[in-house]
Amino acid sequence: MAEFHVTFHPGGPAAAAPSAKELEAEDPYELVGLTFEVPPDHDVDLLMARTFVEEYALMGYSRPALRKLFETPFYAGTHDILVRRGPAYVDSVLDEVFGAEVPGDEAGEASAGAAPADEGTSRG
Amino acid sequence: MAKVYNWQLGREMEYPYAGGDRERQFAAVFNINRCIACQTCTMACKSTWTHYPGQELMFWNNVETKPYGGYPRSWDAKLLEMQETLDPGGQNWAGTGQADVRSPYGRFDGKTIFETANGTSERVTGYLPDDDEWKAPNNGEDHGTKMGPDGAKLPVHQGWFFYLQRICNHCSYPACLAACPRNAIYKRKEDGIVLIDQERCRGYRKCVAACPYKKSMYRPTTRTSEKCIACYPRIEGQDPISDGVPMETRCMASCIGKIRMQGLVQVEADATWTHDPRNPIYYMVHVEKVALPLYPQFGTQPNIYYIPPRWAPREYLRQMFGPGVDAAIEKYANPSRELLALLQLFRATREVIFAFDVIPGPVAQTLNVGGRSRTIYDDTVVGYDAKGREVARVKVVEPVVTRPGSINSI
Repeated sequence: MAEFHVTFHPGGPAAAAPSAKELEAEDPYELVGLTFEVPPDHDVDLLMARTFVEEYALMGYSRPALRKLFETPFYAGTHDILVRRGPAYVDSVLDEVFGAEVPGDEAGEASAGAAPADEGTSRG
Repeated sequence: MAKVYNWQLGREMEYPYAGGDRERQFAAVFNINRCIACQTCTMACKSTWTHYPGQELMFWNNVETKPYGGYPRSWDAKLLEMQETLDPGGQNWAGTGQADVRSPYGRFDGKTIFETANGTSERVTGYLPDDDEWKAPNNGEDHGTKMGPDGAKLPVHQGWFFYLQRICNHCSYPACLAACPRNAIYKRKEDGIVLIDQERCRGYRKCVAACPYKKSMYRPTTRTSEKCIACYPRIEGQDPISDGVPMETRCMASCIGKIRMQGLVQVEADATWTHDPRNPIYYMVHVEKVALPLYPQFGTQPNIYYIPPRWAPREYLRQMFGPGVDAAIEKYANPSRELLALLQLFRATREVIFAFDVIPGPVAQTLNVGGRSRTIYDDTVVGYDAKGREVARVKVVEPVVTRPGSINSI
């Protein structure tokens, strides 16, 4: 069994004498599941960041709107990537998808357009 | 044993019963990439069907975190290990698949759970989980891990885990049905929904042991087994607000992440699907091949299809969804114009969508997606119900409403 203890502080602050209890079988906090070795060349951060960016970009989100997903701490998954890997890393992913940022293009409109809808769809 | 055709395996296989008359099959597509494990589906189901005495640990719909655990605990790893033991080195796929509804993923050369049971006293290879294994259905998910002087803390995940949404697969060749010694389980001709006759069931739990997905569950207060009923009154159009057309199940209709789409597909006598590319489920499964069955190698021909998570290691996904994973992720990461529009139709209506159309729209933006430059169009996708009436019309570009920073809804 993994080395793991649950410490309780009944009715008071941490200064109160804690009682340590050994983990029991029905304790839901013990991780009893499987582990799976991640291949060494598997960059989870890059794959996750690209997933976030491309998923939303395909639905029409702009680059500034997506940048905010990384900046705002309430979006834990994206923000965690920015905190651990840095803003330059996030910008490089955004650059890959949207192209290098155009100075002054705050609204991310440089790549948007209104071309005629002359291309058909492909369902056979 | 009869010989039946399993198109997910690309071959005939042994099954206790011959295929019967079929008309339509209940099926659905779950997009794993968009699930946030909010468990709204889980609670929609539980508050509808399993909130009575004896059903405390019963979740017909559950969302579990992979690779950590499962509900019941390690259900898939246990059966995979049993199959490998009974068919050592044999659980392999041959071929790379064909553009054919009869063998889209190639051919599975290993033994199914029906075939590994040959020569034993059971009809299906399986196991009965301990009571303890049904507890903590969210084990491994986003709960606090330790109580310390500063209180509990939520874990910060840096791994590649993903959420797996699970209901009964209403399999074309149900293991639960095959294993029942009372013939209490039946599969409906009109929609392929698998049900347990509560009058006939005596609670032997053979179905619980046989179902590879562990979606048949024992209820001690009635001494019978129970399972997902696919909200069949809604599928039948009996709900007063449905106007007589099929409505999606509670778990599907409540999905706030818009990851689920349910449908009914036409099937042939051999359980292959009738060509119908206007049906959104058929389109995703057989035209785009972007949605794949869960553990098809078990051999039950399950009918819930998954768009695999694009960030998880492929080796793990190939074992879970078969050899179609790489092509499916490629399709999803760089979707066709039509698929991109169809993905927006998820959860656009509560009615079951039987057909869809895409109306071309203007250019929205140009991106580099999946390593390739491509143009995104603001197309319009339209969905039609069983009577051919328009029930949904949405655009590819999602409307965005930005709330002023001064407003705090919490």
